[in-house]
Amino acid sequence: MRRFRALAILSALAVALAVVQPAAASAASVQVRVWDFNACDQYGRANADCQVTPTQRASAISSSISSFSPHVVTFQEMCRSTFDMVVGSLPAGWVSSFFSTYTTTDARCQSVDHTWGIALLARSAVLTNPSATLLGTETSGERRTFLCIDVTVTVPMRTCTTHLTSTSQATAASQATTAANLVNQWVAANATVVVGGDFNLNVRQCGNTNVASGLRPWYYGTYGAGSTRCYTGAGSMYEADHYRVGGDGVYDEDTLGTSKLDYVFGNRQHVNSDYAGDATSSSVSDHDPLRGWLTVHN
Amino acid sequence: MFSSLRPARPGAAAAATGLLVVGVLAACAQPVDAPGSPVDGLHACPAAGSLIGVFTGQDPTSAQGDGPAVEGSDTWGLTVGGTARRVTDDGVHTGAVISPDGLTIYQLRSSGRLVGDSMEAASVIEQRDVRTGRTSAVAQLPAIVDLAVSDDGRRLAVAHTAESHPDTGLDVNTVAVIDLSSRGTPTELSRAPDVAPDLYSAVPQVALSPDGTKVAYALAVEVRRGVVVTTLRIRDLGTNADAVVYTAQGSDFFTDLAWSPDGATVLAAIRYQNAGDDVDSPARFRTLRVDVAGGGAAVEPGYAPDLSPRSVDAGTLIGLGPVPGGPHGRALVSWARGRGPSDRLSIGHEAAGISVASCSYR
Repeated sequence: MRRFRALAILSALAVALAVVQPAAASAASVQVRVWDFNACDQYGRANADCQVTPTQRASAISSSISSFSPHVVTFQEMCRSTFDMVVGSLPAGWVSSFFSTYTTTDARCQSVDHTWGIALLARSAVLTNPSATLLGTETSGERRTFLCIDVTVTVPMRTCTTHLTSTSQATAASQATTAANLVNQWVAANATVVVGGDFNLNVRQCGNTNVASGLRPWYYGTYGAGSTRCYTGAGSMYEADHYRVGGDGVYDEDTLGTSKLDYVFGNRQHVNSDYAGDATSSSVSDHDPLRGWLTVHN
Repeated sequence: MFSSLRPARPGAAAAATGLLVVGVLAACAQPVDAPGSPVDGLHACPAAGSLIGVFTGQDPTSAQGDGPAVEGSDTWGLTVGGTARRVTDDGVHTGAVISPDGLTIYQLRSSGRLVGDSMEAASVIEQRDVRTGRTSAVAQLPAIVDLAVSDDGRRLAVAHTAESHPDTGLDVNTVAVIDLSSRGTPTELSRAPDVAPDLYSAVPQVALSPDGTKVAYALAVEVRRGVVVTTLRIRDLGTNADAVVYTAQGSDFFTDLAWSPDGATVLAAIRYQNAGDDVDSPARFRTLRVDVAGGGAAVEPGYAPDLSPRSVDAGTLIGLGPVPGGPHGRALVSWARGRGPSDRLSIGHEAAGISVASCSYR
């Protein structure tokens, strides 16, 4: 009985450590869980799937973070007020960064603070070197931005998010290329780079020149439409829900309607080939959250 | 993402006309007028043809040229047979209600411009003759988010942003009432007396009493940063007296309001969360019934974020709710006080804001 109790305590400790610590595959590598979510903080706008107040959205997001226990979180379409509520609900040990891409002129944020944009969170003791690179400006004034920070999730890494334009695929492809060029500089400097974002390019669609040109500088190897892989990449990144030999058999799951617009990338120089992804579901956004598992090493 | 909208394409109207009845499919293989159908017992209105209601539908339209797959918002009609009929096809109509006689649709039109990845709020209220399709502007107001018509057909009420102050955040969100007989300047409700002007407040929902003399509205007030209190209020348009008739619990909020045609009850759909609900959890709803004369409130199970009476005392409601088993797409459902929901009729796209003409159940 006593032995059983000791075993139970040890098991509980192991689970607790797994929850608070990244799953260490070795001293120099760690399985990083990434959660990317276009939160569609659009309450009161003409989108039936997004008719949830920031308060309820923040509560649901906090619960999802608690249950999935990610190490890196990337958000798009989020009110500052929602971001603050989410951050306020997290335990110690998280760092975060919000960048306002737009100041709303409507009541979506249910707050005196009308700023709205993209955000990064990480379970890290440090946050350094933040940068926000302008990729383009909409006629409304919304600034498409590539937001990055340096954090340490056992392994030091540069983590980024973005929300590319929805008004033109050609422009989204151009913005994706600009962002990839930035990433490639860090990759060339031997950095670990993890990116989650809404690219507004549908990789499930073959034969699209904008998908080909915009995502080509990201993907390593062939990509597109799950196991079909109708495009050839020229980049360094694994995408978490990308086809791979020995994977779970489900790839490029849709994240908005029948399209996959949302991505979790990690550079192959520092990410093992056992990556995995899963788009779940959401009742607070028109997008599905994307879960990514990346084994990252120094 | 909310993709961009574009002007009506040449030939789109003709294509839409050829596909008038497309939307509502039986959830199971039974006639739509079978017992258990959400439209069971409703009848056609005199001179209004088969149209008995309206809602706003979102439809992805095919990509054109460089544009991404776009999603438009249009007015759709609900027929007595339970089918859906596209009324507009320009992708810029964000809300609609139907007159009690079923002869007129009042609808909200946006510029279609994208602002912060969503369509700019409507600024024009249109009146559309159901029989002829003739459409004219009723009024222009900034940033309209909800629309209601009184059951005598004489007044409209809109929830909108009267003044936007993105610098301070202290927008003026209120209700405007339009007298359809005089078509004069809309009357703007003054700020609720118990809400300080240095607090952020918003009015997302509105309903009119049957005689148009009172307004029920939802008011969200950010009492301190990150804490929003939502109340259901009734404003007497004659005396300007403002009464809180219900305060939402915790993070609950009102997703729709309606007033029973007999004037006795104000109804609200409430969205709530259970402890631990995450983004994958299903949407949860309740139905609130407020006794206007007595002030009592009863909270019952709910099945949809949008509701409309389908009996004079609103003992039976019809709504547009989630499709069971899936987070996206919408289905028509009705429910009676103290009873469970009807069968659901699935709509092949996103939809919101159901409004049923009272002539179909009187």
